[in-house]
Amino acid sequence: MIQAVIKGAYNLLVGMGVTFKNMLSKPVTFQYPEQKRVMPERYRGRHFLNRDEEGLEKCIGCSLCSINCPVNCIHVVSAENDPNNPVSKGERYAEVYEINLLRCIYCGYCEEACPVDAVVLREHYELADYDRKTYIATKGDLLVYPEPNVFSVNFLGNTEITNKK
Amino acid sequence: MNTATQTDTVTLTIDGKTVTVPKGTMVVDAAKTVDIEIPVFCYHEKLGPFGCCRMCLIEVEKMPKMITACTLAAGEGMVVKTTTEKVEKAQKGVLEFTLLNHPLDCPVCDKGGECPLQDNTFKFGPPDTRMEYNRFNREKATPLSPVITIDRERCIACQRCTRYSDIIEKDQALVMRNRGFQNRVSTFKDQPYDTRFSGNVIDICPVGALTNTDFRFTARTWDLTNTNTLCGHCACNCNMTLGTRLNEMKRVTTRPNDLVDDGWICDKARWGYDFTKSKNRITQPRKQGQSVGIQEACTEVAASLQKIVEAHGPSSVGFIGSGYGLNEDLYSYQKLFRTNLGTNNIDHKTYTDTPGLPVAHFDLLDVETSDLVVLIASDPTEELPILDLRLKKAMTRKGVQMIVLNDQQTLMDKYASLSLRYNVGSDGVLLAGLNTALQGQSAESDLESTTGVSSNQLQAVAEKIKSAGKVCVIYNPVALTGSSIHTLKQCLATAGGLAETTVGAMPAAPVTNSVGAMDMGVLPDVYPGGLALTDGDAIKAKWGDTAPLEKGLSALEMIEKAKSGELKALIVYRSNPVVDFPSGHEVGEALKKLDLLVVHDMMETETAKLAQIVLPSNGPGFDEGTTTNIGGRVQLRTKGLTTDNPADWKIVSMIAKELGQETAPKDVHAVTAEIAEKVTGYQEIKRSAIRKQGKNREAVASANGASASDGTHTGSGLILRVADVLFSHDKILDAESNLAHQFQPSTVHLHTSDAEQFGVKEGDEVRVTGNGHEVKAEVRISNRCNPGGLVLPKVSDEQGVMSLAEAGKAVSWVTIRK
Amino acid sequence: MFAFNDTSETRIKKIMAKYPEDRKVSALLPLLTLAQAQEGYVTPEAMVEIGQRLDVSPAYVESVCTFYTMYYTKPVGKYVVKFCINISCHLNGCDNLMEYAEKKLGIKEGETTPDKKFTLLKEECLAACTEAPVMQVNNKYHVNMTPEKIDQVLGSYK
Repeated sequence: MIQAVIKGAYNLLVGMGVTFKNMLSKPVTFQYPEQKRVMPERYRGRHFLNRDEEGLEKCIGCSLCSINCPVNCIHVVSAENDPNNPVSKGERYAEVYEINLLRCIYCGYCEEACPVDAVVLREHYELADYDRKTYIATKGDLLVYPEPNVFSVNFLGNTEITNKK
Repeated sequence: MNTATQTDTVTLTIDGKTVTVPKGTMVVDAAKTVDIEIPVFCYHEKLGPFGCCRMCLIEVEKMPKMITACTLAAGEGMVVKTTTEKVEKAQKGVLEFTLLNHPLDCPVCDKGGECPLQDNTFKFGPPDTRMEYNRFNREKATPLSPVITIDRERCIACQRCTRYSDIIEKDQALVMRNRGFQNRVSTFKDQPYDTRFSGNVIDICPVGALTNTDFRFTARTWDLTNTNTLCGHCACNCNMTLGTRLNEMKRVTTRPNDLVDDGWICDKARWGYDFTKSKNRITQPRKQGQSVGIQEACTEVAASLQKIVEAHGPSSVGFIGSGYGLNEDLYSYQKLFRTNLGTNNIDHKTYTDTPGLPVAHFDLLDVETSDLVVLIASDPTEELPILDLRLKKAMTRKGVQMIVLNDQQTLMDKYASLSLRYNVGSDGVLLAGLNTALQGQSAESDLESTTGVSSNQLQAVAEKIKSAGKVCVIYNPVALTGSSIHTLKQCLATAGGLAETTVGAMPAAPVTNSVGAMDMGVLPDVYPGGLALTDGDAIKAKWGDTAPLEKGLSALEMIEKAKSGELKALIVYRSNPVVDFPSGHEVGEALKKLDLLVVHDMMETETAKLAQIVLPSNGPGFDEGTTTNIGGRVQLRTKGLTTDNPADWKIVSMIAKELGQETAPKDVHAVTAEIAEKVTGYQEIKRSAIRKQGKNREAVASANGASASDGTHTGSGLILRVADVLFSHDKILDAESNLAHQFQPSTVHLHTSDAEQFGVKEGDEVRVTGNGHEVKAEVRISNRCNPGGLVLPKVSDEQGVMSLAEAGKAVSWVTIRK
Repeated sequence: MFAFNDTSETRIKKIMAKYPEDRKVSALLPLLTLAQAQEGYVTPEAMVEIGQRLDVSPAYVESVCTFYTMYYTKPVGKYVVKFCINISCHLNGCDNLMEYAEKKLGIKEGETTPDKKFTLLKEECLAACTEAPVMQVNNKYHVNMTPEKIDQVLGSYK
C-alpha cells in the first residue's frame, strides 16, 4: 500500500516535473501580430524582383518563370530595351510582369527557372487581405527590396512602407 | 512519288531498320521516314545537299571514314549507323566547335524554344565547353532590312540563308562576305535585303541570327497560340501559321505544304497583317454615320431592300462582291440575291471571264511536272509571288521550258526559253492567231502589224506546244482586254484536242479567292458551279422555281444603271468601286444617286464613306471558311483572332432571315456542307478532307461565251496597261504597315520611241491624262512594253490609276503631258 | 563610273573565250585581277560591271572578292606590306614585328600612310613556314624577318 503511494507520488512528480520545466522555459507561442516570427532564409513566401548593382532590373523578360509555373500564375509581356535608356541589362526587358498571388502555390519553380536570379521568393508570409484584386502583384509591387523579416499589416502596402524607410 | 517503280527505289538499313526510298534520296531524309533523327544545321530539304556544318556525320559500313548524311545519297544495301560511339563523339565535337563563339543568350534570344541549335545541343551536345578564352564578340542586332534584324554573333555560318537567296530566290542578294573567320552574311555594300521573299530566311535560320524585327522580343515562342491558316492576300493561298497572343497578331510563319507553297511565303504574307489591328478597320455597323447594333442594321437593310423590290421590281437591286470573300460568304450572298430577292444582278469583277475551263484545271504542282509552261499576260512576281518561286524552280531545277506571252516586260522573261511581247491591247488578235496556228493553218497577214509578233514566232509557239508532252497554260484573265478571254479558251480547247499533248490551264487572277468567286456563281449570267442560265431545269431543281433565269447586270452595268437611276439599291461587299473600277472617279457620283447603298467591308474605303449603312466584315485572321486557289485547290482558312462581330455569312443569313428565309445555317460548316451539296465540283469538299493540305475541287461546268472579235483599236495617244504591284499602298498595306518601305513612287514606263515622240526624258514628272482624269507619274524609259503602249504600275490607291481606264472599253487611250 | 579600258577589253575577250557560255562565271577571278590592275583596288562599280558581264549578282562578286586577300576593296598605297600571322610566323614573333612596323610607319594594321606609300596588312598564311617570319611587299617575299631587316627592306622601297 505505502509502496503504491510512493510510486504514485513519484510518478506524479515526474509528470508534474515536465509541467514545471515547461512553466519555466520560454514559450514557443508568441504574441502575433504584435510579434512576428523570423522565417528561415529559404522560406518561400511572397515574390520579389531583384535589381542589379547599377539599379537596373535584373529581369530580362524571358518568360521562363511563366512557362515553368505549374499553375500559370505569372504573366510576362516583354519589350525591347532602348539602348540609351535601358530598363534591364539585356536586349529585352519585361514591360508587364504580374503574379497572381492567390493562384500561386509558392513552389519556387520560377525562382529555380530564372536564368538571371531576378525573381525570388522571400520570407514575407503575411498574405491576407480583403480584396481579391490586390492579389495581382504588378512590377511596382514586386520591384522593391524590403529588409529581411520586416512586415506590416497590408501585404502589398507593406512593401511601400518598408521601401520608404 | 506514286509512280515509282521497283527500279527507282533503293533499300538500305539504318540502325537496323530497313528503309526503302526513291533513288537519289539523301540518307538524312531516308532516316526521317523511319523516325531516326540525324541532326542537321545546314541541310534543308528544299535547298539540297551542302555539307558545311558537319553535324550529320554518320558511319556507313565499308566506308573508311565518317560521312555527312546530308550529302550521301542512299544506296542499295547500305548499312548506316547513327548511334555508335564514334558518331556520338563526332556530334559532341562538332557542337562544341559550333558553340565556341555562339553567345549563350538563349533567355533573351527570340529563337529560344524553337532553336535547332538549342535542341541539338540538348540532345547530342557536350555538357560543357573546354574553351578557356573569351568569346569572339561581334555586332549584335543590326538591321538587314527594315523588317529583318541580324545578330552576327549568333550566326553559325550554315549558309542556309545565302543558299536560299541563290537557289530559291535566284537573285544572290544575300551572300557570305569575308569568308573565313570574319565571315558575315550581308548584301552588296550592305544595302537593305528587301526582296519579295526575304522573310523566309528567318524561318530557315537554325539559330537566332536572322530575326523578325516586328516580332522581336514581343513574345516568347511558347507563349504564342499558333493557328494553322491561309494567307489572305494573293490567289496562291499559301499555308501559314498565325502566332497570336492575347488576341493580337504577333507573327506569321510558314506552314509547308508542297502542294501549294513548297514551304515558302512572300513578305506580304509575313508582314502584311497590320490590317488586323489597323485603326482604319470597320469595327461597328453604322447607319447614316451613327453606330447601331448588328441586328438593327440587318433589319434595316432587309426592310429597305424589300421596300425597293416591292416598289421597283427585283432588277432594281444589285450586289457587287469581290474575290476577297470566302466561298461561304460569297455563296451566301448570291443565294440571298437569287432566292430571297429574285435577281441575277450579281457580280464581282470588272473584266470578262467565265467559270470553268475547256481543259483540265492544273494544280500548282503540275507546273513542275509539265514539259512546257505557257505564261500568258501574267506577271507572277508582282501578282502571285509564290507561283513565281514555283516557276523559277521548275525552269532552273526541273528542266521545264517556258514560253512567255505578255504585253509587258516581267522578271519571268529571264527564265523563258521564248518570250514574245505583243502590243498592249492586241491580245485578242494574238490569241486568235495562236488558235489558227494550233489548228495548223497560217495566220492572218496583218498579224505582225497589229500585235508586234510575227506569224513565224507564233508558229514556233504552236510547234512547241504540239511537241511537248504536258503543257500548263497560266493566264491572267484580269490583264486580258475585252472579250479575248473567250478566244483564249477556244485556244485552250484547240490545244486540248491535240492528240499527243496533255494540256491543262490555271486561271491566275491575283485576287485571293477569284477562282472561288467564279465557282460560287457571283456572276450575272452563271449560277454556282458554272451552271448556265440556259439550263433552266437544272437551276429550278437546285434553286427552286422562283430562281431568276434572265441575265442580270454586270458590275459595270450596275454602276451605269445607278447613274441613270434604274438601279435603286446596291450592296457592295469587300470591294471599293470608287478606286478599283474603271472610270472610278465617276462611280462616286453614280453611287450617290442610289436610294440605298450598303457597304460590307473590312476597312474604311472611299465607297464606305458614301454608304447609308456600313456593315463590318471580319477578314483574314478573324474569319473561317474555305477558299479556292489558282490551282483549284480548296483549303480551310481558320481564325486566329476573335471578334464580337458576327461572321460575314452570318450577317447575310441574318438579312435573309428578315427577308423571310426560314432555315438558317447553324455554323460555317453547315454553309460549307451546303456548298458541297449545291455546287457542281465541290461535292467532295468536306472539312475533314481539306483540313491538312486542301483538296482539288472537281471541274466546274465550262460556260464559255462566244468570242467576239474586238478587232483593231483606234484612238490617239498610247494604250494604257495597268500593272499590278505586290506592295501596293492600299487599304490593306497602309502607311503604318511594316512594309511601308516597299512602297514605290508613281512611275510611268515608256518605250524609247514614244518618249521621243512626247519629248520626255527619264525622270521627268509628267501627267498621264485620259478619260477626263490625270495621274502624276515619273517617267521611266524602260522599253517595258512595245511602242504605242505605256505601263502604269498601280502603286497606291491615292494614285487613282483605274480612273484613266474607260468603263466598258476594251482598251483605254491616254496621253502624256508635262 | 567604271569601265574596262581597251587593253583590258582585249584581255577579257581572250579570257572569256576559254570558258563555255554557261560556265562563264569561271572568269570571275581573272576579271577581278584586271579590274584591280586598272584601278588599284576593286571598286564597287567594278563589281557591278563584272557581275553584269558574268550574269551573277554584284553581291556574289563581292563575296568572292572579299575571300581573297590579294584583292583589295579599299584604296591601298604604292607598296602593300603583308605580315603572315599564322602558326609558324606567330611562334617566331610576327606580332612583335607587326608592332614594330606599325610604329615605324605610324599606322595601324589595315591602314595606309598619309603619303599613300605603304599599306600594312596581315595575312593568314604566306606558305613559307620554313623561313618564318615572313613579310611580303607587293609580290616579293622577305623571309626570316627581324626589326633591323624591316628597317632595311622598307628603306629600300622609296
